[in-house]
Amino acid sequence: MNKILKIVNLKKNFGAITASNNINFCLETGEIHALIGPNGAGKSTLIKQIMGEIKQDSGEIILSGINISNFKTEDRIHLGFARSFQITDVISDFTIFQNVLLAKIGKEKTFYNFYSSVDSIEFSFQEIKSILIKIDLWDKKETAASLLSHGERRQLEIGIALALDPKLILLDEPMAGLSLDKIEKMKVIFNQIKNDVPILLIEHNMDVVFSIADRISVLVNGKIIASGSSSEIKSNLDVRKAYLGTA
Amino acid sequence: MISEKNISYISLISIFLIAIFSEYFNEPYLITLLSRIIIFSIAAIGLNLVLGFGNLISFGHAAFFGLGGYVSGILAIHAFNSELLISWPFLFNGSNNSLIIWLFSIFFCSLLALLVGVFSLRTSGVYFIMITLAFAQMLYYFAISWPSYGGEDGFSIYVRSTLFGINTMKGINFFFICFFWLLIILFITSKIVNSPFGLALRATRFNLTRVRSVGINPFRIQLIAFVLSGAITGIAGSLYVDLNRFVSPSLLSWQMSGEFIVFILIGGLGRIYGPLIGAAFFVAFEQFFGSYTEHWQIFLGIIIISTVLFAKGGIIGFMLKYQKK
Repeated sequence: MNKILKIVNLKKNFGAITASNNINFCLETGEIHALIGPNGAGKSTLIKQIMGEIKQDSGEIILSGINISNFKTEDRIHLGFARSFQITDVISDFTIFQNVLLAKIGKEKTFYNFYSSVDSIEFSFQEIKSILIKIDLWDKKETAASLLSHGERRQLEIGIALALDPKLILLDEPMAGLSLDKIEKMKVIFNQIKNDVPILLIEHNMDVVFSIADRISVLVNGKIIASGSSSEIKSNLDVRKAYLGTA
Repeated sequence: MISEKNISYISLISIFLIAIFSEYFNEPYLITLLSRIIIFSIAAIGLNLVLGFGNLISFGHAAFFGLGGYVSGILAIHAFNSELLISWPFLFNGSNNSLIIWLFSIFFCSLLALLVGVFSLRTSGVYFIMITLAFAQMLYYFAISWPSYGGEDGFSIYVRSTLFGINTMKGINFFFICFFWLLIILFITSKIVNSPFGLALRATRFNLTRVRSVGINPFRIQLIAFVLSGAITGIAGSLYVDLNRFVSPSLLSWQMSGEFIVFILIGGLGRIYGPLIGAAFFVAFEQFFGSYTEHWQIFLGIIIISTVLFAKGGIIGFMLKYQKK
């Protein structure tokens, strides 16, 4: 297994509050690695540090052997980070196609191209088509994102992430607010994608986590208290204590 | 069939034809009016690039219009009087060659736009409006208090600048120059808007976090757009001064910035030809109602209010909607 993302001794304090307390973990090729933990455990803070939106106090973040601890968000994205948001966040006045195209333009750094029409750019069409087929939205490519259902927006988010041709994808509660059949559909999409791109999954729905995650890390009070497969985590005493208050 | 394209082509062709007929029937005043429409629309097209497509409400584009005007005026007056403009690093007497004048205007207006953009793009919303306005007002008061170039009264430049030996003092010839500029600017802006850069710019209008998250630095995109926009509006300022052969601080006034916004709103926000339609409507309206009453702006106010309330897409948007029904 190849370690795509490695986090070493990451620390972050907000005043007296320790949001990240010596966090170590890694994401490997071909896996879905779920990060779980109760509210306020420091999941968002960790993700923000990984994305470079806030700076860690100490520790290192390593992406495929490159130390990116001091990189800006945009540079991390160019190196291969893709993220979908906790709050579904697409450009609602753009069509599905345009949303994915924008990501492609960001990835290919063609945003300083002032002269060629977006319709005529060679790379875009075929690649975007294959992405839209993967996320099952090809039929709706000309639909404005504002007209999509909640679940379809999530799918689009994944599509945008894929367009960035990432080394890893960070999914922040992708299942929140989805109906059961939509969740099943998303599971299928994730299981397909993970072979191309490993996924770091933040998710509250435990059924989902236990059914699709290859590995799970549990974050409590800024510390990773356990890490392992579904069955290991299910039987871990510390985890049960943190979640249920009893051992 | 009414489509945005057709409306645009028809308006371009009719302006051109009216000018030709005016020349034929010897109506120089009408030709001047048409040149004015074109120059105003170039200025507003520049503004529309950031306002319509990037949702950056600049209330200070008169700064670029005025700077373009002053740059041309100063170059021209020095050339006319054979007065030294700068003595270092080389002697320079100004110029009355249009190409040189335009080059200088573009250069200085881009520079100013870069400066204004670097500061103002760090803000958004109301703050952006106010800071762009503040920059323009600074220039305005500077011009008023600058006695070498006429201060509050401005100054006249007597003759238009020359281009390839064309007699630019002849109204129709100058109209052709303006019209040619309009075509160039329309071509450039439509290219930009439909390019990957344009898509990124339009995306910054809705969602900066999303733009950043796909690896695009929205600040740079907006800054480049702002510089392009300032340069385009600067060209218009250059042409305007040449048209009137007169430079005054009123070019820099906030009313001027406001009028550019009005052209865009009336014509259609975020539409490439919107400013042209808006400026044509504005000038025609001013001529028509202005001949009845000096309070013609009351009627303009009613038009603006109804546009904002009932026809958000401006004239073009209204026509397209009407067509659908």
